[in-house]
Parts: sequence; C-alpha cells; structure tokens
Amino acid sequence: MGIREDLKSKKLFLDGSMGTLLQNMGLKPGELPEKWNITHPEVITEIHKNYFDAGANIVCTNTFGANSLKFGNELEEIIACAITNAKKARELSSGSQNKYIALDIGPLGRLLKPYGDLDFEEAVSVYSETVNLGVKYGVDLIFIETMSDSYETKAAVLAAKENSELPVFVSNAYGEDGKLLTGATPEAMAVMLEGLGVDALGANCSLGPKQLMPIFESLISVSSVPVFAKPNAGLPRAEGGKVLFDVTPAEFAEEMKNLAHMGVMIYGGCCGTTPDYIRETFRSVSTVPFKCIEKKDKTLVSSYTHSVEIGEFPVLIGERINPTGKKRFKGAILENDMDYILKEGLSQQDKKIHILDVNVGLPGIDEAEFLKRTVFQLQSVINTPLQIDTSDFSAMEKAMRIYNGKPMVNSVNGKMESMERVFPLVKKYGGVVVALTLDEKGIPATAEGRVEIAKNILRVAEGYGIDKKDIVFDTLCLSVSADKNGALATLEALKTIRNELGCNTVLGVSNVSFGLPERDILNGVFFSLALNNGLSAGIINPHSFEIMKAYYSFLLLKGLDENCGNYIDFMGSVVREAVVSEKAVTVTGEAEEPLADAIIKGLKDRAAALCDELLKSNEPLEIVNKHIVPALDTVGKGFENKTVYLPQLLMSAEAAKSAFEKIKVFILEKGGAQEKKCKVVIATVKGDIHDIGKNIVKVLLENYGFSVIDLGKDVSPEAIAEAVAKEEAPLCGLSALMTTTVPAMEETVALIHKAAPYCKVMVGGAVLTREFAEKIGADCYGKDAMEAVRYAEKVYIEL
Amino acid sequence: MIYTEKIKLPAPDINEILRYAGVREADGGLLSAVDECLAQVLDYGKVCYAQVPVAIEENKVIFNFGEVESKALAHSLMGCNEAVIFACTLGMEFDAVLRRYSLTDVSKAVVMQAVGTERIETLCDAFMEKFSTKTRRFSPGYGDLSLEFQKEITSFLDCYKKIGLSLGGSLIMSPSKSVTAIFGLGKEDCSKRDCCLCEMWECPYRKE
Repeated sequence: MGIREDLKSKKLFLDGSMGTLLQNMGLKPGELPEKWNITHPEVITEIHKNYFDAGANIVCTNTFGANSLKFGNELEEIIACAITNAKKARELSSGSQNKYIALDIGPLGRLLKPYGDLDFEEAVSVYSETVNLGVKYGVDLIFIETMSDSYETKAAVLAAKENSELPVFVSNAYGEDGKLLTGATPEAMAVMLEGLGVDALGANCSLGPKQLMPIFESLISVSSVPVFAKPNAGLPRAEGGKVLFDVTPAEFAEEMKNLAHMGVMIYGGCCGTTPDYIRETFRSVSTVPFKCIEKKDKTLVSSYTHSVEIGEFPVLIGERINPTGKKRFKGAILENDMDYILKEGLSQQDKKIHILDVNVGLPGIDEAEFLKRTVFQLQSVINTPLQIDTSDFSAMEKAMRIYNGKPMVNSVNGKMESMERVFPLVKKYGGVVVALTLDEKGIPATAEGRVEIAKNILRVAEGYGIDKKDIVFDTLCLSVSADKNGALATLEALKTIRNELGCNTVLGVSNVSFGLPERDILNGVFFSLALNNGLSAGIINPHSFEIMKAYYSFLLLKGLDENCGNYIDFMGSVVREAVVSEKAVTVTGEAEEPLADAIIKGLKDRAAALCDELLKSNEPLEIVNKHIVPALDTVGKGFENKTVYLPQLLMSAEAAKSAFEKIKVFILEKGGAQEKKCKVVIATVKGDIHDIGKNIVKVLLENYGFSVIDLGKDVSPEAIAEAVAKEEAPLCGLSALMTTTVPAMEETVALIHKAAPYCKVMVGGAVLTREFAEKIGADCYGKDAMEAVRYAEKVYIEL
Repeated sequence: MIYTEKIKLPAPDINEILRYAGVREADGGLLSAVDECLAQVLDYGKVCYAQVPVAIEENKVIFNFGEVESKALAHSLMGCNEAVIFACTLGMEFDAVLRRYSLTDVSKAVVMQAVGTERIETLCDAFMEKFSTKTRRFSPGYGDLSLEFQKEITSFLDCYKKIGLSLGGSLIMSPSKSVTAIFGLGKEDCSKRDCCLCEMWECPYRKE
C-alpha cells in the first residue's frame, strides 16, 4: 500500500487552504503562519483533522515558507512540530480512507539568477535542508506547490529527489495569461517535470477552477503522469475586515467534477477553500469513474518558456555554436569571450530555429565549467530550447543539471560505455537524447546494420526506464566524397527507423559535402532528400540560404505551411536583408573618410561593410590608426565637452566595435594575433546584479585597444582578486550601484591591493563619489566611461 | 486585505526619457532608438497595495505590520491616520530585453534603462491618481528611511506571490524596474516628486 499504488487505481483528494483559515482565526498581518505550529499546535491539528474528516487522503503540513533563508535555526523545530500536528490529526480523524502526510514546500520568495540574485545550487541546498527534515520526522510524500518560476521548481524537485525516495507532487501557480511568472507555459512545465520523474503534477492557487480549466487541458495533453488540481475558491474580496471568496463550496465541487471528467485525477483546494469545499468536492467527484491518465508518445523538449515537439513537423536545430573549423569561434572560447558566443546564439534565434545546439568543446579548456557557464548565459537571453552537445560526460551532466527545462542531449551511441554514462543522466534530469547508430565496431556501411544498432539502443534504454519517445536517432551522414553510397545508406536507415521503429530522427546535414566545392548547394539538396525520407530534425546552418530555402519549400509542398505563411515570410526576409546590406555599402555621403564618418554617426552595419571594403587594400593597423581611432577621438572629445551625449557616444562605440570585429576575423584568418594595449579586469561587485555601467566601460575600453577580461556581475571579492593576480592585470575596474554593496567594493579593493599590489583599481557607479572612492582605497574614481578610458591609458603609458 | 491590480500605463513623456538618458538635445537616431525601446515595454504594470492605519510617535512611524524609525517619513505622514503601502513593477520581461540589449547594443541598453525609469515613475503616478487627498510618496532609501524597511514592506504585501517582486540579499529589487513606497491619506501636499528630500547633491538628474 502506498501513494504510488493508489495513483494507479483510485482518485485521491487533497486538503484545502491553511492560510485563509488561520487568518480567520486571528493570524495577524505580517505574522508568520509557520510559527503557529509551535505556538498554536491545537489549531493546526484541528484544521488538518477537519480536512481528513472531509475526505482528504493527503494533507499538507503547515510549512509553506519553512526554509532556512526565512527561519534559520528555528527551522527544525517548526518542521518537527508541523509534522507532529499532522500526525496527531491523522490519529484523531475517524475517516477510513488512506491518509497521507505531505511535506509542504513553497517558493523561497527570492528570485533565482538571472532574474534575481539567488544561485541555482544555493536554492537546491536550501530546499534540501527542508526535505531532509521532512524525511527525518517522517512524511509520506513531498508536495512542492505555488511555484511561479520553472527554474526554482527544478531546484526544489532535484532537492526532493536527491534527498529522499518519497513520491513528489509538483504544482505551479499560473497567472491570468496562462503562464508562470517567468514565462513557462503549462506544456513546458509538464515536459520538464515529467522528465525529472515527478509522481504527479498540477496547478494551484491564482484563479478559480473554471478559469484554470485551459491550464489543466494543456497539462493533460502532454503529461503521462497523473495531473492534480488545487484551485482557489474564485476571487477574493474584503468584507467587514474579513476576506471572502466568490465561489461557493457547491459551485466549486461542480467545477471540480468537470475537471475530473477532463482527466484530472487528484482534487484539492487553495486560497479560500475550507473543509466544506473538500467535502462537497469529494461527494461530487466520487460519481465520476476512475480513469488513469493516458501515456503520451510525443517527443518533446522544453525551454523556460515553451516546449518544442519533434515529430511530424520537422524542426531546425542551429549548429553555429561550435568551434569545429572556425578560428574566430575557437578564439572566443580561449579568450572567454562569452558575448561573441551569445551573439552567435541570438543571430540564429532571429532565423527562427527551433532548438539551438551548444558545443564548446576544445582541447585544453575545462569544458565542464565552460559548457555550464555557456548554457546558463544562453538561457538568460535566449528562450529557444538547447541541445547540449558534448562528448565529455561530466560537462554533459553539469549542463543538464543547470538547464532550465528539458534539454536535447547530443549524444549517446551503441557502445555500452556510452549508454552506461548517458542514460542515467537522461533518467535523472530528463532529456531527449540523440542516439548515433554506431557501436564498438564503428559505423555499419549498410542501412540494416545501423537499424540493428538502433534496436539495441532502444532495448538498453528501456532497461534504464527511458521511453523510446525520448530517443532520436542520427543515422550518421558522412562525406559523400569518401563513399559514393554513403548518403544512400544514411537515407535508407533514416526511413526504416522512422517507419518501422516509429522513432524520430536527426541528422547533421552539413557533413555530406565535406571536401567538396559549393558545399551549401549540396547540403540544401541533401536536406530536401532527408526531409522527404522522414527526417524529424536537421542540425543545420540557419544562415545558409540553400538550407532554409529547402526547408521552407518542403514545408509548403508537404502541406505543412498554412496559407503559405512561413514561405512568404522567409522570402520576404531574404529580400529585406539583401536591401539592407546593399544600402550599408552603397550609401554615399560627401564624407572624405566614410568609415570615420559612419563611426561618428553611429552606423553599425555601414561601419562593418566599409571596414570590409578597406581591408581589401589596406593593412589592418592602418585602418585602425587612420580611420577608427580618429573617429573615436572626435566622439570621445565631444562627450567630454558635452556636445555628444552618452547614448550617442555608445552608438559610435558599437559602430567601431563592428569594424573591429571585421579586423579581428581578418587577422585570425591570416593566422596572426591582434596587438592589445594591456589587460583590464572588470566586474560588478558582490551583491550587485545590475551591470550596464560596467558593460559601457567594457565596450569603450575594447574600442581603445585594451584586452578586457569581464568577470560579469555579482562577483565575490576573492574571485576578482584571484583573476587580477592570475592575469597579472595592471588595472581593474569595479562597479557598484547600491549603497548596500559598497562594503563589498571596499573589501574587493583591499583584497586586490594585497593579492596584486601592482594593480591599480578604478571604481564607478551611481552611489559613488570621488571622496568615497578615496575613502575605500581606490586608485581612481571614474565619473563616467570616458574618464575610465583616460585613466586606463594613463596606467598603460606608465607601465 | 492586500489588493492586486494591473494598471494601464499612460503615454510616455519623451522629454523625461531623454533626461534620464542624459541627453539634452536628441537627433533622429536617438529618437528612433527611444521608439524601438518603448515598443518593447508592456503597456501595463502590476501593483499590490494595502490601506492601513498609521500612528506617529516622535520619529517613529507605527503600522499594523511593524514600525520604523524615520524622521523624514514621520514628518511626511504627520497628521494622517491612514496610509497606503504599495509595491509596483514593470515585470521581468523588461529585464530580459535589457539583458539582450546589454549584449547586442549597449547604447540601446542605456536608452532602455531610461525608458524603464520613466515608465515605472509614471506607473506610480497612475496608481496614486485614484486616491484623492494624499501626501507625496516616500520610498525606503529616501532621506533617513532605511533601505532595510523594504524587507518588511515586501513581506507584508506578499510581493513575490502577488506581483512577482522579490528582494535580493543586498536589498536590490528584482525585476529591476520596481518601486515600493508609502503615502499618507487625508492630508494634501504637493504630490509631485521632487528632489528636495534627497541628499544626492551631485546627482546628474537633480532638479533644482
């Protein structure tokens, strides 16, 4: 007997609100309800007992906000008393139903990075403390509820799974727009939660049962685990000092019955509901026959906002975040140039890819750390689901762990060692895994050989409890120049796996043309053929016209493009881009120095195009000294004389940056290295999460030829001092925005002076003044970004 | 009871935006950047608030959920028996756009920042309009009212659950464009914001 068995055979009932009842019994504004476990145990026990008496199978302990951030040392006593109260209620209740006690866990009330300042792993460990106490004092399940952020939800689920074997129920609070606060749709949540292996999932709070109906519909449409409902008693209103809700117990019960018919299997209430609501619901839902939720076989991945299905409608996976064969990209990884990598992601997102492949593997770097950081940074600016692409298993695990959703994982193959390493990760964190049809003996030459490997992979996966919907096969496309029948075998295997095994397929399309001229053309035709043979997802270059043309034409011809909309949009964008790039080069002004003029006017595309032109007949250094630097000087002086304003200064800086980018690529292609002035480490100090000021300084310093090492925001004093010492940087720039973070800045300055006495420290930020900067021991106060640049030049000259 | 409301934002004041961006004269490029940024801000904001009794004892201000020592706030609320405590935010979509601009075009990030400041101040004004006789709004960090008081306000108003506003370890609010404030009812003073309460003498945005 147990909850997991009950879920397979019967409807279950949850309790209703705790908070509403406590307020009506005298809980004061600002008073913490969890304390009542200690001060008013009889009240709490009575409430739990009333819910059991009303028919609830599961009551949640009064521990919604019980975490160490809020209660510190008091936490254990609160949780122990809460569980004792619930157990006492279970003994006192006369009901004969199965009765369980759930450890109730709510949000920490602090937003996680990148929205706020709480670290993901810190959240996991705070939740772990609560879970461990729940286990110690003997609950029957963990009930994570009212979560409004998908990332925090994942942290809580990981804590529950890693510290207990107990069943885990997870419920989110959706807003009126049908999404979580941080943007997730119900489908995205169901996909992620099922991947994480929860026992039941649902929605609670925010709205009444009727308004939540579309949410439950969405959850049921993708979930293979039971779905539960814990809505509010409608909307609240104040009356004579009391809070009342507009849905009566009878109306509530009627709506819950409708949800039961829809497929919701577990029923309870949130704000405003009382034992009466649960009793009525029990009565009315009992007449609906039990029906277990249907197993779904859709292949789905998710991001923190939405899910993407890999199936009938073929999807595009952008391949550009990958150093293979790209000098500029390798350089970015080696120089820790995260901005470059993120922009590579953004530009692919603009091309409407569905999934973004992330591969940052390069010999000599700590791939696990770098991949983890890249994934974290990407998901703070891009909401496309990611494909974690690595052959380093520890990198794979770290990235899957901090990924905010259910990722695509690239890859596993038919070798036993690979499956033994990858499948446990997929089981734990959830994921759709790309399976390569090769094994210890290599890649079979024939389609049959590849299909056999696929079958074996499916068998082994099943042993790990991984469903075939979560495996997508890559039948490996090799260069057709090496094997004339290679492409045919790939396509044949693809077709068989799709039609006979009923699995989805994926291909890295560009390999086919390796070693041949005009690769794009061949890639495009091969992509068309693969799509027609049942390819579900193509790993492609979205900037390739041939590829995109093949894709949109295929969709249109296969009846997958309603009103030809996608095709027309795509062709429209092609025309627009052609016009823009034409304009960038051909707009002629009277300016004698067109590049300098473009920079002064802040025209990004034009500056890049003109710089490209100049590179055909000029040395890079000459372009920098004759065109770019004079332009920057003009603007910089204008800013200092207050004839140019900050946004304009920065537009010019961005234009110069786009010209410098062209020069950088040019030099790298020639195998050279760019000369830089000196290293400058910059960071926003610990506790400060706003970094625009720092980013402004960074852009300008780079313009003026400094090698900037950007440590990001909310960086500890130790990390900054360590980086300065390691890089032997002669200058470090720090920014702080809040009076509360100035002490962290002071500490950082002291630590740098100790660790690297040769390093000058300049500081800036809204709350600082020259006097204050002196007081905390800084060597320079930068009133604005230009002052920072001038000081950096002074430091450089004096070196 | 704590009320939650979605408030429609009135049209933006472009001159205010330019002032926050540190610009005195705008050219076409800048104005189109302002337009581009404005197009990415939602046209509503979220507010949660409560109307509570207030009592003043010398420099101490006493609410039903807690009390705070502040001469300036006590002075501002002197003579009021009731006050409104509110928190409002433009939401985290704003921060997402800002993060993106920070990466792709820092000049737009500066403009976006200015747009956000104008929008959140406008949101506060729009919310306060429905109360007739009131004092000017007062936020933690003004004068001698400690930033620490944010903790009590956000916890009392249950800001995280109601409008998705949370307080970080160093008392920074997330989303970034958010305000918590208090104003008194039943007493009129100039309810336009001004700079006379503030001690940031070198502030570039200071109005004389």
